[in-house]
Amino acid sequence: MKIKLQRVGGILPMTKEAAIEVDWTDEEIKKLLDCICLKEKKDSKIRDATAHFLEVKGKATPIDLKKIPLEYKAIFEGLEADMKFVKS
Amino acid sequence: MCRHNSHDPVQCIIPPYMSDKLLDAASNARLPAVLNNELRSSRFRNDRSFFGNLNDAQRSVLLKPAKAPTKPVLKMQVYDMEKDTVLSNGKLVWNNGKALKTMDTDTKNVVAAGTATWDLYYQIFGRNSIDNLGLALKHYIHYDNKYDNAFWDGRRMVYGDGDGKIFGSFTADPDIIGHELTHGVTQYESNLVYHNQSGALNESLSDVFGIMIKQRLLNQDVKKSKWLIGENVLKGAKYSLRSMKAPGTAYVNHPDLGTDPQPATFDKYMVLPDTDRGDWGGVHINSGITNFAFYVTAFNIGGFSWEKAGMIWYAAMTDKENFQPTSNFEDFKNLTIQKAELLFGSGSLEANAVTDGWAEAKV
Repeated sequence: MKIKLQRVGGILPMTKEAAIEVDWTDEEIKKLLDCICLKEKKDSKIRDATAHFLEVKGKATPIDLKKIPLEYKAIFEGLEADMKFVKS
Repeated sequence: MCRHNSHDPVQCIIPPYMSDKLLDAASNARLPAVLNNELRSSRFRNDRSFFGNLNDAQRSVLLKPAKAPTKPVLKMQVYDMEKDTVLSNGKLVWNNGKALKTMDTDTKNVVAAGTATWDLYYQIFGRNSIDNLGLALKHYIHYDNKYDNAFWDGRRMVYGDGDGKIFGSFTADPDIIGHELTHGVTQYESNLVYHNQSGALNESLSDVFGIMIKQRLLNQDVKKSKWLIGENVLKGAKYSLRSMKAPGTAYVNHPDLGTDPQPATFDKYMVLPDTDRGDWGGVHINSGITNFAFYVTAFNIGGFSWEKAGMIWYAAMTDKENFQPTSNFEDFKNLTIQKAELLFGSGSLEANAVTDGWAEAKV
């Protein structure tokens, strides 16, 4: 299946994204999303912040990149490096 | 011993009415407290009488001059994140004028622009730092790896280095640094809600004060300034992040970013989702409208933007009674016109310039 990492927001509010094919099972994906999804509400005083989403099967989930488990780090670092702007 | 029928203070240190009270009180075992209160009251009465009868010459000799209020001073620190993203891991590299290691370009940039920001707020508007109480300015540079953004986290300014291809360092423009610091000022003043029109006003105020900080640092008047935000941050001679003079033209057909979507006038206001992806209702998009109103106002007044237009905008943005967290464009328009009339007079060139500025932006 294809997963897509997206970054939105910022002082110049642009969307950046990169996608990759993975052979993860549905259960693996669910476990990963449970681990990295953004549970706590963001500090309402932050301005010009960026936010990350992981899109799987058309559904985007807000995630915290700092929570990526070690075994997935390389994949997400690669995705981050490959992200391209979506033109406005 | 005191004779109780005498009122001569030379003969009697403790006046009779007081000693009578003392004697009464002593029987109630309250002597220490009563003695203390009565002596203190007596002393105050005597002092007041004595000092009240002094002439100016005597007073100047006897009374210490009032202590001059302490002049506010800039407090500022710079932390190097060394590509980390956990702010508590930042290493202090510059502390209140003292470099703790060799200053790199980013340290120099944030020190210069941070100082210029503090100076503008203090020297022009009489404001003591972000919170008007002397809050230390804290800059965190080299955040993350090739991070192409800068943000205010509610307490501190954070800057990425950019990817080096599309974006340079986010410390490269003093207006960006002033922009982030002004988010702090707004937080401590109106605390404009970061959604839709109030959010766009929040963003616009950051651009307005950011451009004034740059113009003052470079000694540019309204005609000399290009009115561009982030002209060095976004690489390429013909690109910048935003144009206050001509919103929507900061970058056109950029090979990676496309075209600047900012409207200049309210009839082109973009209704966007109030979500992360929708820029919280287009707070960085629709800010073009109020940016343009400020540009037209300042340009029509002439001279240096911070002297009159800036003064009007500052008076409006710090009017806590009338400028509310959910204020919209119309509210701010009315407030700036009101402030211009108060500061410069109804029908003055300045008040007319503000009215014309908002009319040009079709608000």
